Formats: sequence, C-alpha cells, structure tokens
Amino acid sequence: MGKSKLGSGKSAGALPSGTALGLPSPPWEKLPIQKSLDQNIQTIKTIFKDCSDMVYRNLEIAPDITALVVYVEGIVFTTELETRIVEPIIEAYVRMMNADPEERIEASELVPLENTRISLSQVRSANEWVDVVEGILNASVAVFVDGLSDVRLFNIKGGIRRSVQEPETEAVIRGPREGFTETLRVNTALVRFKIKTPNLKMYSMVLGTNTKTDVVVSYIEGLADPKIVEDVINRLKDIKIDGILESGYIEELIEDHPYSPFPQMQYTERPDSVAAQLLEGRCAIFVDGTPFVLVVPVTFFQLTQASEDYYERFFITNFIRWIRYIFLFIGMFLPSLYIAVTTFHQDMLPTTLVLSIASAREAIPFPALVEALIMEISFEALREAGIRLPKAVGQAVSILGALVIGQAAVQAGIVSAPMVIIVSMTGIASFTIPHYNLAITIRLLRFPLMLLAGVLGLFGIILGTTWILVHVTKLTSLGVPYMSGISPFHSSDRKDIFVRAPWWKMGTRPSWLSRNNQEREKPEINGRPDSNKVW
Amino acid sequence: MRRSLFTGLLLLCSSIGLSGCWDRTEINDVAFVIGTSVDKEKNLYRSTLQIALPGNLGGSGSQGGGGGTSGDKKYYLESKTGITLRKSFLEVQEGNSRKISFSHRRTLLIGEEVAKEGISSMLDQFARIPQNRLSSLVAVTEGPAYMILDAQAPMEQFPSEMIRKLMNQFTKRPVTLKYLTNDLLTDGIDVSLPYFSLQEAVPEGLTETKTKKNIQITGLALFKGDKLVGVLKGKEVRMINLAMNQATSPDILVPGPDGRGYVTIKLTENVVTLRPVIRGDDITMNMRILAKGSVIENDSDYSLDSERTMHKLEQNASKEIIQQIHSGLHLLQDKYHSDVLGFGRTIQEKDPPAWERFKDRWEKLYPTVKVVIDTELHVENIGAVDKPFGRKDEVLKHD
Repeated sequence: MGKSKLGSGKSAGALPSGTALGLPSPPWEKLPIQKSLDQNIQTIKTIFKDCSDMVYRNLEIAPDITALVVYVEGIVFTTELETRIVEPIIEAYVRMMNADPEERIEASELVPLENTRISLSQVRSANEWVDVVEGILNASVAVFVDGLSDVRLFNIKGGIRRSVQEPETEAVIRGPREGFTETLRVNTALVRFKIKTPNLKMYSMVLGTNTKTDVVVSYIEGLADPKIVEDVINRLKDIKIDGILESGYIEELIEDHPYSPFPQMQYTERPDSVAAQLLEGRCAIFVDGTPFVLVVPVTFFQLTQASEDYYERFFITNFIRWIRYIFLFIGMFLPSLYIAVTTFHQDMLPTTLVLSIASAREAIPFPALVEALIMEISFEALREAGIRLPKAVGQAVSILGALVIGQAAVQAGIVSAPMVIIVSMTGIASFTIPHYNLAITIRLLRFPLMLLAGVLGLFGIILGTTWILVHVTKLTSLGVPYMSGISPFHSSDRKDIFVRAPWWKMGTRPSWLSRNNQEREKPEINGRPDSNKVW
Repeated sequence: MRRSLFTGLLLLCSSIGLSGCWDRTEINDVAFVIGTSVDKEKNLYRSTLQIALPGNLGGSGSQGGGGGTSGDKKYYLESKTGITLRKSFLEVQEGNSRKISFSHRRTLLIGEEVAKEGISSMLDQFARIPQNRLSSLVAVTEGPAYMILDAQAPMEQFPSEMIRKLMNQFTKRPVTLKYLTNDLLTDGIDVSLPYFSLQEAVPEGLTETKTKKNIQITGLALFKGDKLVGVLKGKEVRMINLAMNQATSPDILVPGPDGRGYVTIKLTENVVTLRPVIRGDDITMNMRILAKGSVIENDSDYSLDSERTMHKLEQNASKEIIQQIHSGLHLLQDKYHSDVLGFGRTIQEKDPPAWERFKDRWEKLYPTVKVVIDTELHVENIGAVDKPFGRKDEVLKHD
C-alpha cells in the first residue's frame, strides 16, 4: 500500500497543468490569447470571477494603444509595481504626447515591452491562458497589450512575509542565530550564502495541483550520491496531490517505511544545519511556505546530534553527547524499568531503596502500571497543553500542572512520590533529544514498553527492546540503513557516532554517503598545534 | 488475507493481557524480611523473622494506609516453630497477609543452642531457594537469637541493619552464607563467626525506664566441624581476628615503656601471612604481620618525640601483639581444638604432599603446631601532638 506510490516504473511527468485534483477541467485550458484586448479582458474576468483580490488596471501605453495590467493584490511587490511598471509606461506615454502628437505608433513596435518600457529582469511571455493564469497566481504581473497576442509576465513576488529570525525549535548557545523563513528563495539564499560553489544544485519543481507549491531539491554535485538524488527527485515527481502546505506532507509521501514510528527524515529550521548536511553529501528538500527544510537520508545517530555538537569543543561535545545517550535510554526505559522492578523483581533493588519505595507506595490504590500510565499520560497532556495554549496562559498551566501532578497527587495519596520522580526524569530525558521527531517517537514507544513491563516484567522489556532493535536495524531512509555506522559497521564512522572526534581528526565523510568522495580534509597539514612545537 | 492476519495478531496480543501477570506481585503485597534468627526449642526450629513495616518508614503519602501495628516501630517480629527451618518459615507465611520475601534478608542469626547442635542441616534451604541471598551475613548469638533481633538499634532503622554494619566493621570480609558454607566444606579450616550479645548501653539508673541494651560483638564463636565448641572472649578476640587477617583496624594497648600508663595504637593497615615450615611431623607456622599504626592515645608520661622512642614503642607494641596472639592461639589449639586460622588449609596450599600425610591425623597434629610470629610494625602517625598533651616537660621520659 505504502510502496505503490514509490513505483519507479511510472512516468515522472506532472499532471497536465490546470487539472486540479477534484476540480473539473477548466474550459480555458489550451485557449490561446486573442489579439483583441476587449476579448482578453472578458476572458480573464470570467476566469477570475468572484476573485475580489484581482486588480485590473487599464493604461494608455501609446496613443490609441491600451494595455491592461493584471495582478493579485498582496502577493506582488507593490512599490516595484508602481515604479517599474506603471510609472515608466505613463511617463513614456506623456513624453510621447508632448514630443509629437501626430506620430502614430504600432503596437508591434512596442514589442518586447521590457526593452522599451519596463526594466525588470524576471520576465517571460505567454501565449496561452494556462500560462498566464499560472503566472498571475504565482505573483507575476501580466501586461496585456491591445493588438498583441503575446502577454508579458513580470515576476515581482512580494507581499508581506516573515523576515529571517532566530529559529525557535532549535535554539543553540553557540552557532548562527538565523533561521529559515516561509519564503523559499530566502531559504535557498541562506544556504547559498554558506556554500559558494556552482556544484550546489537547486533542482526546482512545482507540487500540488491547487497550491502549486515550489519545491527545491538541493544537493552538492560530486558529493551527494547521484542515485539518492535521482531517487529523491523521482519520488517527488510521483507525488499527485492537490496541495502541499508543509514539508511534512512530502515527508510522509516519500518516506521508505510509512508504518514505522521512527522518523526517516530530519527537518530543520537552521541553514547551518542544512549546509552541514549538504557538505556531508545529503539532499535537502526546500518547500515554499514553511521554514522547515527536510534533510535526507538520515540515520538514527544523526537525529541524536545537534548542530551545536560541531561548534563546541570536542571534550564538551562528547560529554553532552553521552548525557544525551544516557537520557535517551532513560526517556525510553525508565518508567518500564520501574514498573518491572517494583512489580516483578523487588529482589533486584538495594534493600534501602526497595523499602523506601514500598513505604511511599503503601497507601497508593493503583498498581504501579496504572499509576505510571496515569502519570505519563497526564504529563503528555500537560506538554501538549503547554504548546497549544497562548503564551500568557502557558505559564499558568505549567504551574498548575506542576502543583497538581507533582505535589497534590502525592499528598492525596493517589500517586507515589517515586513515580513523580520517574515521570519528571522521563520528561526531562525526552527533551534532551535535539530533534523533536525522534523525541516524540521515544515518548511513544515508552507506552508499549510500559505495558509489556507491567505484563511480563523485565522479560517484556527485553522482548520490546529486541523488537525495536530489529525494526531499527531493518529500517532505511532513502535506501540508506537507519543504523549506518553501527550496522553496517564501518570503522571510519566511529569518529562521529558515540564520540565526536575533534575537527582535526574528521578526515572523511560518513561512509554511507558520498561513497566516491570520502576525503573532506587533510588533517596532517591543518593548522593543528604540533605538540613538539612551542607556540 | 490482510484482514485475517490482523485479526490473528490482535488475538495473539490480547492473549498476552489475559495470561500475563502470573508472577506479578505489587511491591505492597510483599513483606520484606530484613533479618531472621534461628533457635531450637526441643526438637523444633524456632525461626523469627524481622519484617519491615513500610507504613512506618515515613515515606510521604504513607500515613494513610499500611499496617497500623505496634505503634511507630519500623519493623515487627513474627516467630513460628517447625520441624524443619523451611517449615517454620512457611508457618509464618500462614499468618501473614503479604507474601514473605527473603530476598532482602541481610543477616541470619543463629542461637547458641542451634550452633552447638550443628548448622549443616539447616543450610540447605538457603541455597535451594534462589530468592535467598547467599550474601546474608551470619552470626551466632549469646542466648536465644530472637532477643537480639528485638534489641534497641537507635541509630538504624532495624536491629538487623545494625548487626550488618557491626559485622562490616568487625572483619575485612564479613562471613556471608557463601563463605560460611565454603569454610564448612573445606578441609583444614574451621568456621568462626562473630558472637553477638546484649550489653548495657548506659549505666543502670541513668534511664528511668527499663535498662537499655545494645547489640555488640563480644567474642568469636569457634566451630569444630559444624558445631559450636566455644566462644573466644576478651582482648584475644581482636588479636586472633588480626591473625586471621580479618581485623579492619584493631587497637592495642601498649604499656608505657617505663611501665606506667598505656599508649593506644590503632593498626590502621595490616596484612598477615602464614607460611608453614615442615620437618617430619614438626610443623611450624611462620606468621608474618605487616602493620602500620597510629597512636591514638598516650596516657603514659612517655614522650614520643624521637626516632629512638618511637622504635622502642614499636618494639613494645609488637611484643604485646605477639603475646596476645600466643595466648589466643593457646586457647584455640589446646582448649577448643578449632583451627579457625586455617593452618591446615595453609599447609594444603603451600605443601600439598605434606597435607596428604597430615590430613587424617590433623586432629592430633593441630595442637602441636608451633607458631612463630614475626611483626613489622610501623607507627607512622602519632597525631597532632608528640608529647603527652597535659603534662609538664619536666616529668616526661625521654629515653
């Protein structure tokens, strides 16, 4: 079911433009532009019937020659429109009138308009209504001239978009503060600022029959595995959907294993992160309208690493990385271990600990499993509420939650104090994972593990863990094994999995990417302080 | 196809929920036995279990429920008799609403009477039931062992916890069930266990209520085979413990070099090695004691301010150690015939052929073993003052 859309045998051609999924084929499809402006006006007004955001502006372009400027209000750059299109035309007309009123000018002499009147570089001509409509909707200004069947489309995309701000989901202490915005070209530019080579390719396509969303696949030619790039592009071309509003649509539509709880793509708001991934030979998928850029292929360990790992000195990074691994384990297993140990294996705990747990649980009416489920679910609810609620209310919720869950529940004898500690530890642990999509997976998997622990004890946990390990080892992201580095193991990848080697030791790129172009630095000639040399 | 597969999976999953939890025991349905004691009443074993009362342990939220037994005590004792030891435990279970778990038993006290009759037969169930910890510490008590279990242990939550800590202080390697059995089954060594008794904690009359009694190690219970043959008491206990290379940091009172007062030395580090020298049936044990000590009290008028005086002190201390070990060994060899130092095992290790010859006659040979003690004692630390603190210089001896 999930595989069928990945079939490579299908032609990669997009749907005929204009045929929106779920919409009848428009009658103006394939209609040519007429020479008569009046006819054209009539047609375009029929096409954009009831679209109040359309603006039609009649202009005298020369004596007896009328032009029509059509655009969608709000999505074009208004100043540009005024100064670069309307103003020159009017000025030219006024000049012409003043100079020699007798002189007649033919419409064909004005062609092409951008040479005689309008100084804008992004221009193209269109002869069919399909192209014109698409152009107008894509923030172009269409200029119809009476007597010409050739419409000029000037792209002056504008409108109000968010400016470059600090990414909120991936905060760092050290590292660039700029984040992607909703504008595709701003995003690609942010990466282009960082990687200045013509080998940085930006393969562009339009997805979504109604949204006509611009999507750009970016990769560095010579580093990225051509097969992976081709695969990404083919999968994207196979997408037939009416709208793409966020990169999440694409992620779900093209991932290898749609039924896996594990994320097989990374999304990021950080240009530096994307640049780093591109330099390792990965592909990035930019989607217009969202600041989240997809990076493929990913491995499990990549999702446990933050961009800051590479900016801070390697001692600190290794320490932090290990803290993260430990807490990854805690976040996944702590509640189930607690359940298993308190309900099956009391003999495994130190005596003092088992007694204090027993004493804390003395008046608790629920079994440990139920208690844990109550707490974990209310914690998840609290977290969800914290995200959804307006910022001003959010704080109230967190105080309320902390009080209710943390203290009152214990005092009321509904939940034991050790359980509160377990839940808070787990909560904190899941926030140490830098990538939210992996963190939420870990949180999700906690629940089946808890049930297994409550039913089968440690044996159940081992069972669940084995299942997860088998699954993860089998998993692929764009054909690259999810556990790359460990399985399949490659000794050169040790440098960036359990440890982060210092930069003067990072001689090669990950072995599972850019197979033909492994070397990324010459460690022996880098400016690394020679221990024998006195500086 | 998919549908039936899915249904099958669902059924399989639900079976986990139905069949599961067969050995699930909530932590509050378990009675944790902290310590046990074994006594003999006629032909029956009387076992007394010290069971923790979680409701009284002061966890938050525990005020509401839990056993409302015996005031604010953190444990209670439950005692039953039975033909075998296990049977007596089962009897206790009969009268307990929670499942008794021995997995947290830390100490096992054996009453003097049981020990005299032999302990081999009761050891089986400790090993047979995996829940039992072989790391439980074993000790012998003066009188009935349950008296000790109910003694005052104001510092600890449970008397058995106090016993455990005392035993850890007493020996370098406390005798656990595992070591006990090991020694029982090894030729050429006899078992010795700490001997607990109740001691007055404060002089009578200080407290208005009934006199408080403390748990204390007062001796060394000496076994021959699996039977208790006697108890070594007094100052020799410490030195025999040292000779067994088990003393943690024994202290020794050394008479002042001029005969008046005592200098107290704590042997902070000590290693004892045995080496047999065998000529025919003449067995000589060379015992070498390496020790470092520090002076912790000097109430004589002897000044410890020079190399020479220190040397003399060390000599005196060595003499005292040797003398006390000899007097202890005399009791072991001639009175109790208990080879707790493992002379036999030492011979077996160092000179197996000789042991083959002695093995059957060891009983007779053991008392004839001569022991030569050689000490190397360094008093490294005399504390913050060298001269006796409270005395005038004129009265001090500086020889």
